Amino acid sequence: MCTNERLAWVCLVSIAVVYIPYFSFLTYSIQTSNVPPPLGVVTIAFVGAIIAQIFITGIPAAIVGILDRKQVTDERDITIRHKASTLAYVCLISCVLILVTGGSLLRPMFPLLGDGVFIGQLGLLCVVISELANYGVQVFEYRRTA
Amino acid sequence: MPIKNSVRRCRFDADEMTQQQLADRLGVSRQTIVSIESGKYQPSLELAFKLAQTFGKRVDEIFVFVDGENL
Repeated sequence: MCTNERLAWVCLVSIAVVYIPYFSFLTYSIQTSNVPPPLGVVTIAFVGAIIAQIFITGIPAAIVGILDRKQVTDERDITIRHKASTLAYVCLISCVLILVTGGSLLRPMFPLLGDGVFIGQLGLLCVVISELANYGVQVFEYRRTA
Repeated sequence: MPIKNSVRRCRFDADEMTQQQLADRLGVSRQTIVSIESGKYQPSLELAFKLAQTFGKRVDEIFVFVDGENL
């Protein structure tokens, strides 16, 4: 397994480990009270998620970097990253379009879609999904061509 | 993959050069050499020419296009 593949694994796992509990917490809060949690709670949870991600990503990435000092980024890595980022952009744009159109069409049925905090979290979910797609494709491509 | 290559054979002929030695010469990772040899990754033209130059051969001596009729 090359350095860049290890780093892709680290990023993929860290995003999953941090944001699955984060969005589970938000979903649970909305289900129990039928309203999104207050902005203060969401902000604390978000800052906590960011700090957790910095540690979960940063420490293993530093260890990988120290162990593989001779790391080389070659054309295969660039090809894989290009493929992954293209798919991630498509994923992000699709999610945002679904959010914008769905949000405006379904707003009368789901009043939550008028809440700024809720929409902000859905926007964050779009970014997280696209990042998962980015690193997921990288890992898949590295495994496929290994 | 329709393009076959004889990189492994060329390494063997070049005093059993290791994958790491070849990777260092070409400035790529060993995993990339592994992928090329197994036919799972097709290198760019630039890398194909560098490979050919390393072994003192022509590109078409190392990489061969195998279409359906010639399989």
